[in-house]
Amino acid sequence: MNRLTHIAALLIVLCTAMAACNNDTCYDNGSSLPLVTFYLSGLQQQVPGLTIMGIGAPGDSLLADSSTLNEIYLPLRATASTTRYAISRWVGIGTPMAQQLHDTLTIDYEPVAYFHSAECGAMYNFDIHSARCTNYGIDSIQVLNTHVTNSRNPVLRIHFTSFAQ
Amino acid sequence: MRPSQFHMTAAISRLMRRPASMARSATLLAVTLLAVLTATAQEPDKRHVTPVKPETNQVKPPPKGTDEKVIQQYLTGDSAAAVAEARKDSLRRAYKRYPLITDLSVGINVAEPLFMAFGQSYASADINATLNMWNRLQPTIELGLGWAKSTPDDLYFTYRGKPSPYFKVGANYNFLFKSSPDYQAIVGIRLGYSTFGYDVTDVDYSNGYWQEHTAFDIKGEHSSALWGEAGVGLKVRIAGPLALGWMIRYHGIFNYSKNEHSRPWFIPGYGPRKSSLGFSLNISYTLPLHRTSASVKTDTGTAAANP
Repeated sequence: MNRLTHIAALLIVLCTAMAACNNDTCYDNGSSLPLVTFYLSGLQQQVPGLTIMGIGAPGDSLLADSSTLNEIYLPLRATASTTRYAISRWVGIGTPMAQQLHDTLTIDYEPVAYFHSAECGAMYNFDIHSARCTNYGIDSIQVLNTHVTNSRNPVLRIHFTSFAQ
Repeated sequence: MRPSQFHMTAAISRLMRRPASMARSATLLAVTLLAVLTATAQEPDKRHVTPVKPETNQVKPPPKGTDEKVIQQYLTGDSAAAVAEARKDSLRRAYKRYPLITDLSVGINVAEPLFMAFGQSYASADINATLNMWNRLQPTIELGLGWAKSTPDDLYFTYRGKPSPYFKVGANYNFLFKSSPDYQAIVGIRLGYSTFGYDVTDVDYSNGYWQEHTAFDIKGEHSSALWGEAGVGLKVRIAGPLALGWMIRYHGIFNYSKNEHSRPWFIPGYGPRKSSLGFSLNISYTLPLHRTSASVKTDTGTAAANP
């Protein structure tokens, strides 16, 4: 009887431990967001004076406001196949020649409903078809990965034009 | 000189004074006596007396547990064969050998249905059969069903793993093979396979920046998985032919099929795809399959019943 009591106690402890032993941490992002990196003079570096917003975003909400950044996550619309962003950049800051250059970045894609895992949940992934931009302050863009998931890998690279100070 | 030797020498001296014929006899006697005395006087402390018992025809009984075959061989005079057989007999008693087919256990794994009662959102239950060979090697098969239903509080979806079959094949090795099968300490390996279906429903997607709110379902997904397990465990007879056993299993997926819209979260028989540990709790019924398996000789010659 004593042995059975010990076995029963051990089983209850094991049951509780195994039921509780469920790792529910999501080590990736909870959503699929394209990570965009900024390049200047061929190197990834901090770009000052950046203001970024989604065109048509409710309340003209800003993603960056005169910030110094070397990368940013740009959320794509799940209910549309194109998302546009306004990217403004101050150049010649601190000089009489200071000016703000306004560019537009357009991304065409297809949203794909996707269940990632119990930890990260369900979300939309995006298959990028094309990306284009104007060239006032942006020299060029480069699509690194056409499949946007919740991983933290860069998807797009923006090369800004380097102006002589 | 001892007192007895002194008296003998004095008597010889007295005889020497008598006539010549008597003197010769006395001289001969004296020489003889001196020789005897000299022989008996050497190293008196080392003399031993060994009592000799008369031979008897009494036959001692053989030690308990001696094989009848050995006794017969002694009786027929074939002592060499008897000694060899006695040695084998003693080895047999020291290293008990169970028959090739010792027994068959049929069981049910109730661990995860039990865990479900404690709040786990998935379960796999199986029936299994284990053949015990020499009480050492135990090939085993497991056939079961796995299912899941999970709605995490803060992730806005419901995952339904449809009840789907799984199959495992493998073997255990019993380290206590010299002891009774009532108590087993085992290590085991398994190869598992399952083909299964699942749905992800009631997904509530929202994007804070664009203030989008949409819902979708991913239905009719199918997948399959092949995995391996290695585990350690114990099995103990609890009453009559019933035994209780548990095993902690480390497992890893060799391959599984991915879908365009999802990856499976739960694999029947394996558990969550990202898990690395499993646990089984087995209640089994043991059927003895060998005629002599019910009585295995022990050191004292008594019989131990197999479960």
